[in-house]
Amino acid sequence: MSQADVGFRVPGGDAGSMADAARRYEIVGRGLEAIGVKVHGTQATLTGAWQGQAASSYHDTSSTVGTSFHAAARSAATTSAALRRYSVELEHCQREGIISKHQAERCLAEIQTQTRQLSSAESDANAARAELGAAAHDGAVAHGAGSLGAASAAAADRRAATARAALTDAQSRERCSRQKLAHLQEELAQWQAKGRRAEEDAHAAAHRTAAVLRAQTVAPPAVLAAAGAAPAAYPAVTPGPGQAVQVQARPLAGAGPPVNGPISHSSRGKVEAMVRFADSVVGLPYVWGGGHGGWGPQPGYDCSGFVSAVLHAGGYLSQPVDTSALVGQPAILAGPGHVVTIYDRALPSASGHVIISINGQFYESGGSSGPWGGGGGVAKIGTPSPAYLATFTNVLHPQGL
Amino acid sequence: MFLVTPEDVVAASARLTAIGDEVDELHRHLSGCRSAAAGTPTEGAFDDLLGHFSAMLPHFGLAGEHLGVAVAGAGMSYSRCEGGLADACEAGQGGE
Repeated sequence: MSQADVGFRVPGGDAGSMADAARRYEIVGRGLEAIGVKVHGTQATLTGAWQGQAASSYHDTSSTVGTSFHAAARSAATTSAALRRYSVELEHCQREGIISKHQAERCLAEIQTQTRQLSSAESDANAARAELGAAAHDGAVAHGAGSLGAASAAAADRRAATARAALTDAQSRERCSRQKLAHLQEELAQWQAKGRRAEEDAHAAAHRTAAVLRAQTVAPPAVLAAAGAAPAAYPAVTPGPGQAVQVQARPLAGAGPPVNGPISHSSRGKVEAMVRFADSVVGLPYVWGGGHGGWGPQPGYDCSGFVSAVLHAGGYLSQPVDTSALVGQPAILAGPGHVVTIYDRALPSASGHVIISINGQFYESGGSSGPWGGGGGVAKIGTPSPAYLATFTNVLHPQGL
Repeated sequence: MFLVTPEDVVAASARLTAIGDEVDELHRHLSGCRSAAAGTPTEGAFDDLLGHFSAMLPHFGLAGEHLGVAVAGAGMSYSRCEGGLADACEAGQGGE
């Protein structure tokens, strides 16, 4: 028996997986919180050991970074709490839905049985009435024949008595079946109402949870916001002549807090189209200039041809561009996106490269897995290290994503 | 005019530089809950947020690493300055 037959559906989804996701977000939240505490704690330990203009710049930067970690930790914790609550609500609603479904199915099966029995009783009653009528007619004829028909009259009376008994039994079964049917219909309605309530409760819980999730934004530390501008701490610690700083952190140019909010429902279609396209060409070889001749099928892609084609699948770019031309393209904005981020090293040399992250999955063609100009083909790659990402000069995202 | 204990600055930088790896570990942990909301009305919002976290976390790691590397650079510079001053003082004393 299908779920539709009972008039409601058991809420879908895996409450266990949801609870697991809640635990993972909790761990991430605690981890981010711990890092935030470490950043602030490290700052505190240096209060006496480091003073001056550079120290002041470091303190400002450190405060910003630590605060961003704390904010992200709160977001992860809020997400975890929402998912945990939803997993409990979903599990409860599914349990209620399953019980209601089983009971409704039982009621429906019993209703079918009782309907058949009622039909049988009605048929028996009709047959008994017909027999009773025939016996009464035969009896009347026999009684009219006087003593000659005495035997037939007695036989007709016996038939009539038997028919009356059968009619009484059939009518009794008929009443019983009707009562049971009425009770079963009432019980079915109750289970259906309970099942629909479980379905509605699960739906409401899902929408409450989705609203909480959509309200979460995670902004990376603002220290990375200023394109090409190192935090003030760096120049402030520049030593005297002849003693250059050997290790110099280089901020991601253009990287910073996302400038757009969580993506809209319509934007999700763009992301899905980009993923579909990217996945469809994974495995194609690296081909110098590949993808730059147009948007049609290609035997292979170079890095910028591939990223251009992925962006085009999402409705961006009117023509393929190379690494040095991505910045400034219409609807290609500075900073990381919520779900799509482009890491572009716009150098007019063999070191130029571009990779793209969609929903946290990184893709590239001919990148770090091989020498530029002939390394790995189009591939999904693991999350690059911060050091590798730091080699890209522009961090961009498609508008709305 | 500044006051600094280079060893403390260098020690602090080591703690900060490790942030990149720590965030990477959190990132890997989070990637394990893909499709947890499949079949529920929360799926879109869940996937969007997971994608958002996945896209943003590397930047957090990078921020921590940048801070650590910058402080490490400062510590090394201070150490060199201190070493240079010490050498200069020794040279000055030797000349007297």
